[in-house]
Amino acid sequence: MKRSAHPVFRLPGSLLWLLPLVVALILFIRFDGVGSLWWYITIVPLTALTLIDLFTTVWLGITILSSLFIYSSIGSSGVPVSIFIWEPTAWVNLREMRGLEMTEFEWFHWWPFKWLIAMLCLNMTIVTLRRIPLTLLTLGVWSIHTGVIVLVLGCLVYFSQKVEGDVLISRRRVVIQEPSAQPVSMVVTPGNTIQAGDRTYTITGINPNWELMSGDDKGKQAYTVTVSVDGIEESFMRQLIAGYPEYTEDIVQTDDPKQPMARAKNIVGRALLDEELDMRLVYDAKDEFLLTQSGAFYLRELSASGTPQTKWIERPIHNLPRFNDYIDDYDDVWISRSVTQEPHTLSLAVSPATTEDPIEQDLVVTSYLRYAFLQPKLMGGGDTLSPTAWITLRKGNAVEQSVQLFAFDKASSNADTSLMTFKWVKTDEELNALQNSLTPKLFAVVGEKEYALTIANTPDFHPIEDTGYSYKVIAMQNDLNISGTMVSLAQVELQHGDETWVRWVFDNQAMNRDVIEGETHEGATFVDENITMTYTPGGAPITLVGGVEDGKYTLLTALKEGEQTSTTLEFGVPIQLTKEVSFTLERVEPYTISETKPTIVPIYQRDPSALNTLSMVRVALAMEEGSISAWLPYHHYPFESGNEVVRRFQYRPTIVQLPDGRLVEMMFSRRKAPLGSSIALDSFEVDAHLGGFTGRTPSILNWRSLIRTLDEPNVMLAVSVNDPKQYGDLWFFQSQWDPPDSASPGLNYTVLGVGNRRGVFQMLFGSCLAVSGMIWAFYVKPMIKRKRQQAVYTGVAS
Amino acid sequence: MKKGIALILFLLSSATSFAQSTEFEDSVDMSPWSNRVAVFTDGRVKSFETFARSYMPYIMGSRKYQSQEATFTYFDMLIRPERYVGKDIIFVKHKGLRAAIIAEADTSNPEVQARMDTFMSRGLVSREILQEEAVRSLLNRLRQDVRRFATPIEQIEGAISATNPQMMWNALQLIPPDSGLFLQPWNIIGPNTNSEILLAWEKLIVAWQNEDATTVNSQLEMLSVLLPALANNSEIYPPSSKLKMESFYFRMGNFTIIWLVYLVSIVLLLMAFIYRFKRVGRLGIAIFVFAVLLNTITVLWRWYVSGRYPNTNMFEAVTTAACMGGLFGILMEYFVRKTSMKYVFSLGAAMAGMVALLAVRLYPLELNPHISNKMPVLHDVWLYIHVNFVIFSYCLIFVAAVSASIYLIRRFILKLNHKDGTNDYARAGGVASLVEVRSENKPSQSINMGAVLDGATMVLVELAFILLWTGISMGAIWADHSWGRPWGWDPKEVFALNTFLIFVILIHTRMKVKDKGLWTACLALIGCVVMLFNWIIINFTISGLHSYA
Repeated sequence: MKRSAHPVFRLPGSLLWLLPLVVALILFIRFDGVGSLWWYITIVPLTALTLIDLFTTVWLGITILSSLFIYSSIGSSGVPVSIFIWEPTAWVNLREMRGLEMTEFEWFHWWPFKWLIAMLCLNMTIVTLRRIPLTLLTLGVWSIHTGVIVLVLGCLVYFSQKVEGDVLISRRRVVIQEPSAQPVSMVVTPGNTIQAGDRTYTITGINPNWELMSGDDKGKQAYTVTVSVDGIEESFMRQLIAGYPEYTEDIVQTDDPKQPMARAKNIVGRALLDEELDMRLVYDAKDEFLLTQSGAFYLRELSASGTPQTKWIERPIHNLPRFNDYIDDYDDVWISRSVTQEPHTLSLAVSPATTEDPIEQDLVVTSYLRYAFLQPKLMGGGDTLSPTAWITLRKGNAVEQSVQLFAFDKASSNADTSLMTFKWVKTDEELNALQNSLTPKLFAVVGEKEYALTIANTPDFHPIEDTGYSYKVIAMQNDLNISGTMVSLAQVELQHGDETWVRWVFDNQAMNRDVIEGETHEGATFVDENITMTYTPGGAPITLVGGVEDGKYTLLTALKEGEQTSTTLEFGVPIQLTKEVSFTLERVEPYTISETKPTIVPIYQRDPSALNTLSMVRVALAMEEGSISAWLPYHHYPFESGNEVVRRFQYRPTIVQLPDGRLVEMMFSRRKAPLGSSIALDSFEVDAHLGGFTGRTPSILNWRSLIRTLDEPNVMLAVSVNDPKQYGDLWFFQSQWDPPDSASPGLNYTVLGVGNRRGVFQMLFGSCLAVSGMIWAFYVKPMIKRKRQQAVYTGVAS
Repeated sequence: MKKGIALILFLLSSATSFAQSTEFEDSVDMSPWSNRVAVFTDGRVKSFETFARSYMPYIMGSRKYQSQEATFTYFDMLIRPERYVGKDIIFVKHKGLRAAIIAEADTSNPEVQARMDTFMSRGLVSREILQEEAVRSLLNRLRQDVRRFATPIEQIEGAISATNPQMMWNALQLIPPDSGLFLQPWNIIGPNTNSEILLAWEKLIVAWQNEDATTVNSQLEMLSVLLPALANNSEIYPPSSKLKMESFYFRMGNFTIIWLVYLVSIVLLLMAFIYRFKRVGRLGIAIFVFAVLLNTITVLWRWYVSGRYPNTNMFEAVTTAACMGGLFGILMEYFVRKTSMKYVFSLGAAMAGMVALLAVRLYPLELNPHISNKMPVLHDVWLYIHVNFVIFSYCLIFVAAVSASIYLIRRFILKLNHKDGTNDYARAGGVASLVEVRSENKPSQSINMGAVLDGATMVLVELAFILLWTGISMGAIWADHSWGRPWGWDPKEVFALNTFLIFVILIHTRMKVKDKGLWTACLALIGCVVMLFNWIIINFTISGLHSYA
């Protein structure tokens, strides 16, 4: 019977080397022999032997695998902080915490993960070489281990050289060249406008599938763009058809009200009204793409008139936080009640990358906000009288509405100013006059006698004394904008004898008319001219008045017929307007200035799918002449100008005046990388399911970008979902598109994913090798063993 | 007093209308529309019944209004919207939201209070309560909590707007293009529609409003003939036989009731496995085979009516995986029919089938059974290869967890009886155990139930191991040409790899430990938990690129 070895000797072999190694270390340290020749002769081999033995154990492999499992889980799903693990709020991702700020990619390329993978590969290699002799039976495990190592090497090649990003390409640009002027251009996107000479050019219509009606091309579909040309003397529209410049024509205004616009060909006898104006559609060529999860500042100097002197100069940002807010001074932002005001400092120097950079000094990122928006707010101060009041309306305990009223700028108030307004007066007389004019007045004149009519919202007719006329007020509407003129109107139903009709009584009596079926509203028409009426609109029934005395504010109300109130207000003390609604004056600032700062969105209000698109940074610049700082919101694409911006993306560069007096424009976006060639979007196609493309995503079968390479014009790449195309070292993938909506039929641009994929085939080979090994180890090996056993049994039996 | 009288009148009127409506509903025959009329929706055509059954859950979840069929309710809400005023028809899934709404709603009326109690338990509430100022204010406040409440509140708003008759009318695209062309749009009944159809439709509406069931039935019948005829025998209009099959499939609740057949087979197979009752075993196998047959038929049925292989959403992935597991169980049962491993695979597969079908039956909103078009990214051959490999491996992992669980229960019982089960493991693990397990007719001292269960677990683990690795690799190939990178560290990918890691640990641990059976069973169970975590928590809680999987 085989005797079991002593437990000490059954421990991993590494311990056998570990013990002398430890003893040797103690001795060398004790006798000060560290670094001597004997130190190297003894310690290095002992360490190597210890490590080799350690890496020969399967338990080490199991430990590494378990560590990989834990590491991957923490970095992927995060860790639960509640037992309700089905709630998204139960999961906290450690890699997103302060100090780490890692994306998934970064977490899985961090040194602990790399070390674990390296140790696993070393373990597999040593175990395989030392403990698994290569035989027919062990071919499987050799194949698996080799396959995994090849896969890891493939990953090493792939991830170390991975470049990934995206490029946005518009379908076309409009190039406009006026005689003897420099050409200007803009990308085709709804509403895009550019000025050239004394004309304004605006894209007013886009049809991605215009059906040609002319000649040999009849029935073909093309991308058409209609540009409105507005000059001092004339306005017309020019229709441009991609790929068919010969069909360009103008559409002009006519005198025919039934057909206000007509083809110039039919009106002036030629296709183009202004034949000297050259306007054409060209490709929107791109030779750079934007790198995923990168950061960069873009800077350029402006002239005194605000014209850019150069193109954007890129300044890469490294180690920018991603998931958490960093701000040391909460005075720099508007504070929300739910934002914890715990300062977190950041000081990230971003140096110029080229000599063309307009600023020599480092830009220092002092704050980072993951989810915020710039918001202008009025603050007390300055020397311009601009009275502003902040009011809270409450209905019961639950419903609350904040109202901001401007005395001199009614349009900016966020309340219906016909109901609630803010007046600034200087004297008590003005205040009294205001109070008297608060209620509307309606008068009727019959036979030279004027009658003051009571305005009451009742269903019955009221007699106008003994005139034989009766009336009832149907509605009153104040401050109506009719063709640019503000008017007020009382709709009064009149009755005389058996006849009943409606009269519109305006505050401008000349506009009065009766509503007569079948008549147009041109010219006043009256059913009965013996009765004339006048209407004086009242002020808003809730009027806040200030200005008579410093700090004294009066609330005038006229909410019920014949019942007017005047109340002196105290800040923060609610006044009941009705049984349910109360009015609280919170604050009034007679002198105000506008200040723009970021408002931080509380974490629970953040949409996770927004990622970092609503992030912003604060940069500070210190020069000899002084220092400045500014907030820069994130831009997904660093467009060169406002004319390059396509819808759904923003362009809000920040202009700062440097301490040395220069004007510089700054933008926060992503880093660029070269595509290696120029590419353009020839057309964008949508394949649809049954019933055709309805504009809704479920009706779409596939999207396809037809990409033309401008270096080789004959090369056309049809990039569609699941069908990427390679050009040069890079692959192009269909990523995003311009879906139609109420503002546009869409299909004006495409976003292609761009990336390289070196090492993919090594990875694939490694995987296949591992699979073959598994099949061998689990299925072929047992069969071989079985056959061998049978052969032995047969041999013994014979 | 006035309130009391009003309440009595209200109750009387609602009782009357209930009685009338029930009678009317019973008399209306929607079957001509279920069997012959197609509705165009989101790039595909459905039978009217399927359409109504997929539309009504937007409003009422999986509930019904007064036991009315979805087809009737759709028409009734369209034609007589006033009948639903003040009625509890909006489903609020989020229980926390229900409680918050109840706290805000005006419950001074005892009848409303009673309805709120029902709302808390059933989730149905009236539009009017949801539109009370205080409730609207509450929802607006809660909506700001994007992660927890934005989606449930959007669903409520979607449900309210889905009850709008205009929206219901616009959704009812019944008129196929005259041209019969595939890409031509379908339309709703309108002024340009065939006058015969218009007339029939008008008569139908009048009759419906008057609760004249006879006329309603005759007009429904007439329209069910006229509408398909508009397609001029074009292929775009599904044949009546297909529409019938589709309607029947959904009417039968997608046949998820088959879980009961699986349950019966589980009871019998368990008895047969433990007590070695031969007849019970044969009966159990027969019922299991019957259940798998039914399961397979329903998968094929769905394949036919959807016009594509059913593996593009969670419902299809779960039911197809159950079917695969069942077929695998039958196959394995055939291979091991003369060994002690008999009944183990069918038992595990039956358990997997039952759990899968029960899950889709109990969670119809999460595991939505409705058929829709595939997203563009899913139009790829790798969908069929990668997804099938992965879901089959997941099914095997579940089956392995079943045998592992029985093994652990057995070990627990042994432990209670102070017996040692350390040596209860298959001497040659995996597929080798199949060839080593002796026929049950031959007495053996070395084979016991523990070894049988352990051997079965290893057979399943080894196969799942290869399939999962292959499935992950194939997913990487697909991702490489779809997303531009073979591996993106998406949570779904990472947890598929994590599941695989657990089985790698299992195989290596088994080599080293003495109590192989126990470790194998525990790790198989952990592997199953990680797999389920990936399929449930990662899919529904932690979003990623695989949100449709």
